[in-house]
Parts: sequence; structure tokens; C-alpha cells
Amino acid sequence: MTFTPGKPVFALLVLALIAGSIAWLRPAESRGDLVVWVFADSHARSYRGDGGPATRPSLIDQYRNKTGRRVSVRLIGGQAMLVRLNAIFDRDQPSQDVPDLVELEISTAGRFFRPPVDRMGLLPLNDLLHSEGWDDRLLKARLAAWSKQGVIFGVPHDVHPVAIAYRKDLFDEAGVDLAAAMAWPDFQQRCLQFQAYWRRRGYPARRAIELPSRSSEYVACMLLQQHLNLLDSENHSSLTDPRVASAIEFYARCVAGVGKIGGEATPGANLWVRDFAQGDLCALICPDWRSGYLPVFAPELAGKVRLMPLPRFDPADAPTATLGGTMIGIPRQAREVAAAWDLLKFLYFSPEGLEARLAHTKILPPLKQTWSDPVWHQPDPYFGGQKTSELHIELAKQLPVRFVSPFAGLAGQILNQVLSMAVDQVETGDERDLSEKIRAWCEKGDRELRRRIEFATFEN
Amino acid sequence: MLKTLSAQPRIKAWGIQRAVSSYLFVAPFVILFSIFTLYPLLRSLVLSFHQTLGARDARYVGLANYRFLLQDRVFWLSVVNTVAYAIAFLAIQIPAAMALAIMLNAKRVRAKAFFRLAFFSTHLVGSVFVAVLFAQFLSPRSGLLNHVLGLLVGHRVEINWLTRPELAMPSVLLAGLWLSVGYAMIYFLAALQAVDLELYEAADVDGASPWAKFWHVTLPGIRPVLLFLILVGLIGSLQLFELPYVLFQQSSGPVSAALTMVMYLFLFGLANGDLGYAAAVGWILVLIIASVAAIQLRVSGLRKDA
Repeated sequence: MTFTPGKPVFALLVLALIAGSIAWLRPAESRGDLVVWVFADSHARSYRGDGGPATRPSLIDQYRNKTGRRVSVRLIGGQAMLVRLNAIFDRDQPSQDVPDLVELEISTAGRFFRPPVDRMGLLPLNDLLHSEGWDDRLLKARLAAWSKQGVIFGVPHDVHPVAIAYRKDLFDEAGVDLAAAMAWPDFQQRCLQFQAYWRRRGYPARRAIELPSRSSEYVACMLLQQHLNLLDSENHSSLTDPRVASAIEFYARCVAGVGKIGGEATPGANLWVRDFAQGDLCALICPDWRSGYLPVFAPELAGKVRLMPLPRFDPADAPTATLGGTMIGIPRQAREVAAAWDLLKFLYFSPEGLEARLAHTKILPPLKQTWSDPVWHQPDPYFGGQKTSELHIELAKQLPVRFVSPFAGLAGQILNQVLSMAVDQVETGDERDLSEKIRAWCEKGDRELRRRIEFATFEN
Repeated sequence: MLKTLSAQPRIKAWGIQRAVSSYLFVAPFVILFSIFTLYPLLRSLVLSFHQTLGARDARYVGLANYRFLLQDRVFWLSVVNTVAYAIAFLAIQIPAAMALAIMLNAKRVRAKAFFRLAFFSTHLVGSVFVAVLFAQFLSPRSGLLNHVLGLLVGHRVEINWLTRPELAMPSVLLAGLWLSVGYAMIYFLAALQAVDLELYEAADVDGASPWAKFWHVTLPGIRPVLLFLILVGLIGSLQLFELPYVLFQQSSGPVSAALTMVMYLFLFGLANGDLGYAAAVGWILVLIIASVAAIQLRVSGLRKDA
């Protein structure tokens, strides 16, 4: 037998045929009675029990034993999940593809809050939460993040209070008591003393703290401390608030010029831990999920690290902010809302759920009643015996409200631009009229932001 | 009689077959093209005149998307960035690839197969991986580039390649060139090997200098490939997305210095869930790319060569 196009083409065709047949004949992954979509590996592991104590059944097995219902947890990449959810939310009818529960990350969830309240892809949860009193037991500041015009669409997974983690060994050697800094300017001065000490000892590149010079994420934290969201729940911009310009100016002087205390972390997943361990960056802006990474990726720092609250600009400011976050919600097209709600409560509110979460992450839950549990009041040997969870609880009580907006990314980009221009100005050494210039850039950015929000708003 | 009767339907069947066979042959392509290309194209054109919430809710807004887009400073910044990248990319990629190909085509070079594979292998990696790799390569403290520069100048160098606006696009360019010079080189090499050796011999007889041989023999010989690579490189540059998007961690870089036209489409259209606006950006992008390609074809005369 001859095959005119040639042997390679024939071989490719045969391979394609075999691969196609395998794909076609392979049995489809069985759908559980209930399906949960998650984007975070640690969340999936805590539900499936991967890496947990082998003596205890996984959380989803416990749920099956209790209710007889089989739960399937699907770990889906962030971008893939967004695309698939968009497609699902566009449909009217329930289908096999629709998950019963879905977890969303705060920086990407905004897009799902763009429709009018009555056309959101997620189910309002106010009645369900209120009827069983959960809304009072959850931290209000975190419920607000997942609400639109008073309608709650998600249950918070976490609080994520922000502290500062610092290398106590290196600061002590330099004779600098960083934790005594109550105000940001004082913090900067102490960091400068620290750097001067290490410069004299042959470490000119050692920076006191990790602060990206062109990304405004930590400026947003400083604003949140002052109870300022770049966009509030009604998408009103606060860019023209004088405190925004002041925070940008202060931050720019921390990452450029003679007052520079910040350095960039090495790009890449969790490489900031290496910078911290090597003593290149000696302090970190550190939400609770980040402080959980330190013992895992830098065990050699055991006993050398401490946490401290964020310094403030004003005594009325919060000594913390919040960074990152996850919610769980029920898609409108979910087939069995009651069953989905029951599973949600088991995963997020039950003692079994909270215990599984604690086994995989050290993330503080937003259920206030759980904070009195002794597990959150133990000394942490990694942090030199400091009761870090207790600190997180104290900070959580003062957590400022953070809102989710479909335009938050846009606002962040504009803040980045203003910050970048301010940093350029400080780097050139020409700091004349810097405050006025930043204010003018903020006003221009505000106009731009309003114009874009007005154009993109889709309300009845 | 019987024979006549049976022949008539057969002739009729042949007639029908002759009439419809050509349509049947092209039908699979036409059907697939209509479903997967033509319909989405027309649908996107219609969408571009709507403000949308995903695919379900749409509100007719006429030319508002196009008006907003053409008045948007950020869009024009993305156009300037993309065009600057395309010009710089072609200005470096084409001569570099040609020089490598000429070197590898020289008789005295040994282990040609190894070098060919080595130079081409970067293209096999894929732009997302290259972006991840270059993020490490350009890292301010532990990056190889700063380390090498430090060795050259004799002291520690800590250049923030990815956070300084003026260095953002050069960083993307560096990664883009690393990815694609070997790819273009392979095309040039194939073209060089197809140039008639008798022409070089004739040039030698005429006493032509190496430069004259390159200019009057080599270049005309590889012209179709050269023009093809310019066209492909140009279109690829105008569609630049993954490399800067991953390199700058899903952002447009410092002060949007690495914002390209396709990134603009993604960040300001798709990511906001406004498919109408994304469609409008897409159509403007099509117009820009088609215009640039047409100009390039006309100027270079590639259409005549084809």
C-alpha cells in the first residue's frame, strides 16, 4: 500500500486518529452532586484534604458522610475561571456546567459587579445570611467588599489584615527599634538609620523594606488606613482628596531620592521570600497569607522575624489595611440553591471547615466568634514566640472597609501613573512644587477616571 | 427502447452532478468559514455599535465606542508604543537574522547544524515562557543582565529594567528579539542556499567586491523571503500581547509604557466585560494592520513578486 503524501504525513494522521480516539472514548470526569470552583491551590487542598493528616477524612468526605452528597472541587486557573464564569453568567438556564459554588479573588471579582444588581450573575445572599444570623457574626468590613448597593453577593473567606514583617535580627544589630515607629515619617527615619548602618558595614544595596517604585498597591493600603477607597461603593473617585496626594508624595520619597528606603522584590512567584531571607529587603508589607508563607519558604529565619502594625499618618487612621481576599458565592443558575447554601455553610462556617482551613493555611476567618478560640492565641516560635494571630485579630477589629468595584483596576492604573510621575520627579532631584504637581496629576487622573466610568457604566 | 429510457435519467443525473459538484466540493470550507469566521466577524461588527454586558445584554450606542476610542489618549499611547516597537523590532531583527544566516552559510563555519538548532531553539520556547525567563533575567538584584553589566563596569549594577518607563519597551524588545531572530535566520538560510552559485562565480569573474556581490547577487536572490519576513514581523509586532502582558505581570508596565494595541483591547474591553468596546478596538486594529500591510506591500512591490 502506498500513501502518496508521504510517510511523515501518514504517521501524523495515524497519531491524530489514535489521540482523537482516546480523547473521544475517555470517560468524562464524574460530576459530584455538588461542584465547587476554586482558583487557589491552598483552598482546593484544604477541601480535598491533600497534604493534610491522613488519619482524618477530608472535608468533602466529611460532608459526604454527613449528608450523603458527593462534592467535586475543581481547581481552575484564575483567567480560565473568569472566561468560563462570564459565559455561564450570560446564560439564562441552569446547566450541568454551572458550579454550585464559586470562589472569586478580590482583584478580579470587580468585573462581575458591573451589571445592575438585578442582573448580577451571583445570587443575593442577604436573606440567607440574615435568616440564620450569619450577617451579624461575620466581620462587617469584609461583607461590604462583596456587596453592591447593600445587596451581598459573596461570603468572605478571610480578613487579610496587613502588618509589617521585619528582620528583627538585622534591625537589632543596627540598633534600630522598628516596632516603636508609630507614624510613617518616623518609620522612614528609622529605616534610613538602618540602611546607613549597613552601608557602613559594606551592604550598600540592603534596603529596609520591600516597596515597588511604580506600582501603587501599597499606596492603596496607606489610603485604606485612612478609610479612603480609590472608588467607593457608588464608584465615586477619591483621587482629588488631599490625603491621596499626600500619601503619593510620601511614598514617592520612600522609593526614590535621598529618603529612599524601599527596594523592588525579585519578580516571580514568592521570590520576595528569598530577598527577605538574604537580607536584601529587610521588611515586608505583610497580610496574614504572606506571613504564612514565611515559615514554609524561609524556615532558616525561624526566631529572626517579627510582625508589627502599620504605622499611621494620623492617630485616627487604622493601624492596618487589607490586601487580597476571596469570596464564595452561588451562581444564579445553580441547580439547587438550598443544597449549595448548605455546603457553603459547611465549608466556611462549620468547625470542621474552619479546622481544615487552619490545617492548610493560617488565614484568619471573618467569623468573629472563632477569634476567641485558643488556637489563635498561641505563641508562634517562627516569630520568636510572638502571638502573631492575636496581633492579626487586634488588627482585624480595626479593619477599614474595602469596596470592590468593576473600575478598581482602572483606578489603580491611574494611581500607578500619578505615582510614577511623582517618582520620576523625586529621582531627578527637582522636587520644587512637588505637592502641587501631584495634586494637579490627581485632578487630571480623576477627570480621566470619571470619563471612563461614565462611558462604561451599564445601568438601567 | 429500454436502453434509451435508462440512458436518459443517467444523463440527467450527470447534468445535476455537473451543476452541483463544484458547490459540494467547496461546501465544507464555505460552511466552516461561514460559521467560524464570517459570522463572528459580522457579529463583532454589529457588537462594535453596542455597549454590552457580556454577550446577553447589549444597548445600541451607534458610533459612541469608536468616538470614545479615537479620542482616548491611552489608545493612541498604545498605538505609538506598538508602532515604535514594530519599527525597532524590524530594524534589528532583519539585519541580525540576515547576518547570522550569512555567517552560518559560510563554508568555513563548522558544526552548522548545531548552531542552526541553537539559534532556532529560542523560537520553540514560546512567548509566555520567554516572558517569565526574562523577568528573572532582568531582575534588578539577581538578574543575569545586571550581573554581567556589573562585571563590565566593575561595581554592582541595579537597573530596574521593568519598572523604569524608558526601559520598559527596550526590555520587551530584547525578549522579542531573543525569541525571533533565530526563526528569521532559518528562512534567510534557506533562501541563501537557493541563490544560484553561478551568479557568484560570474561576479567573481567580473571582479566584484564582497559588498558588491552581497548587494547585486545575494540581496536580489533572497528578496522575496526578506519581504515576507518584514511583512510577517510587522503584523506580529502589531499584534504583540503575551510578551509584555506576562513580563509586566498582567499590567501595561510603568506609566503604560509597555501598553500595546492588543493589550489595550484586552485590558479596556474584554477585562471590563464590554465586548462592544472590545469589538470596536478590534476593528480599528484590523484597519491599522491592513493599512500598514497594504502600504508595505505597495512600497516593496511584494505583490508583483507573488
